[in-house]
Amino acid sequence: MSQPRRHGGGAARLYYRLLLLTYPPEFRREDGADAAALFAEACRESFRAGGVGQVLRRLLRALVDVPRGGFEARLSAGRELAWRSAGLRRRTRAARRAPGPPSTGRGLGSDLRFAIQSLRRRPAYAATVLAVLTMGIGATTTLFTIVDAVLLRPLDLPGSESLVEVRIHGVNPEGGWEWSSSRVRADVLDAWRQGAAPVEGFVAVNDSGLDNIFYLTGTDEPERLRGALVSSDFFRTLGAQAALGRVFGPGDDPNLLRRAAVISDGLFRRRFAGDPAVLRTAVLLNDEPFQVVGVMGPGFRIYDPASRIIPGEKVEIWVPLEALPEDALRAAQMRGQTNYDTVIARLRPGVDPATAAAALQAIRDRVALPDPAQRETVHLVRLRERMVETARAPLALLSGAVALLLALSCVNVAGVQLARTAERGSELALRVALGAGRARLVRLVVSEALLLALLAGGLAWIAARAAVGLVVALAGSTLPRADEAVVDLRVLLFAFAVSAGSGALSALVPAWHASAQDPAIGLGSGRASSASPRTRRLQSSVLAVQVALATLLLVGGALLVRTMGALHDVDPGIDPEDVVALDLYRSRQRYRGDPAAIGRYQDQVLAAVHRLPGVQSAALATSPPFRPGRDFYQREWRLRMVSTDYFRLLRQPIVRGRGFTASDTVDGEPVVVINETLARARFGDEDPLGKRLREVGDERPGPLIVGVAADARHESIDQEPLAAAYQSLEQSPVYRATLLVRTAGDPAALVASLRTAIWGIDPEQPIERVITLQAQLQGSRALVVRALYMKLVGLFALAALALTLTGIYGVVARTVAQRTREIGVRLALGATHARVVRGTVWSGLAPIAAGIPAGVLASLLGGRWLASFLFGVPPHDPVTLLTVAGIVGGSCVVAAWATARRATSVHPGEALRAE
Amino acid sequence: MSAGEQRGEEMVPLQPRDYLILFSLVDGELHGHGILKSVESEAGGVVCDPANLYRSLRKLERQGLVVETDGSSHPTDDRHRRRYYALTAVGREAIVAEAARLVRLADAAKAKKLVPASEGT
Repeated sequence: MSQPRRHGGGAARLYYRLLLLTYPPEFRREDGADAAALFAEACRESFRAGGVGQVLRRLLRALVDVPRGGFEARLSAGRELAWRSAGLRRRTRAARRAPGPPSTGRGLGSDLRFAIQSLRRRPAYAATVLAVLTMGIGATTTLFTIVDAVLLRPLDLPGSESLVEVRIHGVNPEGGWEWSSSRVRADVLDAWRQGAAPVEGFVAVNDSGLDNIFYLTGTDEPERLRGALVSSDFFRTLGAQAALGRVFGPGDDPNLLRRAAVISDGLFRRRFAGDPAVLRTAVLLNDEPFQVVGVMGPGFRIYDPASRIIPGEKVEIWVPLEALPEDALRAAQMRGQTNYDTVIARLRPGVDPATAAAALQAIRDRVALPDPAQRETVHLVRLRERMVETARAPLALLSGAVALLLALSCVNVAGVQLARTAERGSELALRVALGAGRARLVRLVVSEALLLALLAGGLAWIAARAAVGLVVALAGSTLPRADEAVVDLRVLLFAFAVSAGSGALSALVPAWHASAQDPAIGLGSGRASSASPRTRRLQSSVLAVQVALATLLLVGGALLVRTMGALHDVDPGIDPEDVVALDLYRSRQRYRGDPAAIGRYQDQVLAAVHRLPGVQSAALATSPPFRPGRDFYQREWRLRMVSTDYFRLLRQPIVRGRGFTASDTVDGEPVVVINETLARARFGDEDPLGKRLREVGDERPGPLIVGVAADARHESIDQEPLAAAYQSLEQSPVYRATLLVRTAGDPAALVASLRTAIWGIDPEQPIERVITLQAQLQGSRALVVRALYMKLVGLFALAALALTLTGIYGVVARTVAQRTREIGVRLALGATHARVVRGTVWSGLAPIAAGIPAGVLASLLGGRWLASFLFGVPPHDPVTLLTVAGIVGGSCVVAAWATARRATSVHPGEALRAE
Repeated sequence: MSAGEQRGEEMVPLQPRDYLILFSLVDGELHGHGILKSVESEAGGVVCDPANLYRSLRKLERQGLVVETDGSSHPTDDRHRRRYYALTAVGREAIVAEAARLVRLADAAKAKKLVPASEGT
């Protein structure tokens, strides 16, 4: 009990002592230890009184309070020193050594003190730089927090880096197509379990197909749960422990294994109110009693393919494979092969996936008698990689955008500092003349920049806490593991490193400039150095870089906007308007292998729905549009079972032959309709009608092709149509189908009567996922993900443009200020106001003219990076590039012109007196 | 800066935190932690930063309102590790004056019916 407390006290003390570095050294010497001890004591007390939340509050407050107090303390210390040195004691030699601040100390401490004082004299300048840097560092820190959680952190399982998923890749030399599947045959897995030396253990998971949907009944309303059937060693091999109760394992009594279940934390809280009593009661799953033996912690998750297809869906219950219904087992055994949807392996320490894959490959080739028609290879993918592979590209895109924004912030600050150095020209020149080394001047500039950057880093760290929550709320369902994101010490360190880097980067050019000061010029006049052509050239280059970066970001944003437009305009090949989809999944137990009964039920449902007023047509289909399926397919084409009216209902034209008719019955000739892509791939220019669709490696002739349907973007709106074959549900009824209904008016209005009609046939039929096709399309990954990243990149681009415009404002305004006298003379000599404005606007135009082409060029080079997000628009789309160039150029010119106009509207007399 | 000869009444108005610190010392000397606890509870649970507290104590010490003691009235505490603070005579004058000022302000607020008059008075 006392051990962790002392540990915590030590950490709090260290934390506080670090913060105390903001205080002057005298304070640290005298009161530092006591204050830190007091802080640790206060933390301990807060913990006793209010737990972690209270301690956190105190830690955060200190983060703000201590530097603020330190700042004040240093200021008053500085004031006292200034007072003392006002007596002009022997300063000459001291000034030679340390011509910067009026200070007794040397080195970093005195540099910092001086920086604080000089910043305090210019609060507007300090605030501007702080705001710009905080934006850049804040965006970077926020994104890092998410990248860290999603891509960098190991899974929350012991030794998770040795967990891999098995994938089989196949190439069919005959057809030229490739496939990739996670399915593994049971006999192959058995052989692996016995013979694969590099693997410590295997886990088999079935989480698709017919048996992973559980209906939790018996208590409240029946609830449909997604579950996974897992081999009994699942938890042991993964190294996962139950948060409550225990997990099941291979050593358990077989009778228990047949009826055991482990549930997720979410289900435990939602359904059982977090009451541990659930461990002592039986629950009804699919009307069979199961014993909940354990509850997993909220952090337990493994790669769950379903969550990629349906955002937010997750496995909530794990049941041993032994609990599979007996008839299903028997059916599988009769077919001679059971497939596991996913097999996860734990490699022995030090074994790399490629070596293990080769060993598994050798065993598989021996057992499975490889199909000579397909070259199949075993691959092992790290579980973590597999979980986050969809997140890589979007995060790379966002990282790029954020990096550009950060770079732009730094360059912008560099521009502001450059101007300030120029304004301080005479002060710096004086110091050089007094003998200050150039290194000393550089240190002055750098310490000021670093101080600002570190302050901005602290602010950014605080801002990131809010921003991360916001991004997770927006993007959580499309980014796996995003909900694990926490702004912690790691992130603080990152923010610190980025701030230090940004500070150094933004100080680079001004520091170099300061060190190259020629004292003679600086001393000649209070102003002359600021107008030096070298300074102006530097300012122009800095501005040009800003314009280029902003152009680059805007091109990215604009391309994404155009992509969204193109996606909305694309014709999916089917008409989703006024169609509603309802999942009507039947349980296998109901039919016990009587296909005729399912057929009769389907007919009844379709007839009953068809009779409803407002229904135009109704059809059943195994895979409704815009719902991408799992990647189990080892065929050249996707197979879809549909009822007779399917094509008519979705308005998918039959381009040759016929669709299905009432004459295609169970007893009739098996027929198939293929789409144009499959027709082209299989038969080229030949007429496919009357031919048979034979599977490669299958001796049976296959069904008769009676029609060719037009291609449709069935899987996803952004994907080229895949090869597909449609078979009649009448000829091969299935347990699970989705009912599609085209209505005369708003489909939502009909849902209630649809339910009544369906329940009139079978009151126990679960009706799930009721959604209009239009909503399904709008909610599809293709649109949702792009819309989100379009908004984020667009936001960054606008911020970049705004920063650049302020940069232009600064440069033009300063040019005018530096040339006030000249302008006055010209006005006095009779130059028109417009002419003078035109003259000064040029100072802002050169960098714009250089920056825009540079940005466009960079976007051409970097376009490939964006290509995977674009749709219907190439990364080098000239219209987009020209439009962006026009927007950037136009707004920059307007900014320059408006600034010049305002700045030159001085009275000639005043301007002449300005000297 | 030393204000040793200044009179307590001339120190008002006190800054709120200074008042709370002096207030915590009215019943006798206290160490830093005791002051911190008292300040935080009197301020309604607002977190008080230890470094700022010590800074204020230093200032009050310079102004002659508090004085560091050896904590002789707490013989059981591990004295060598803790510094105690006590009110000086001037400090006591100052807090009395400040308290009177606050009461006047509170009365004025009551007269304007900004707050209900308390039952006790």
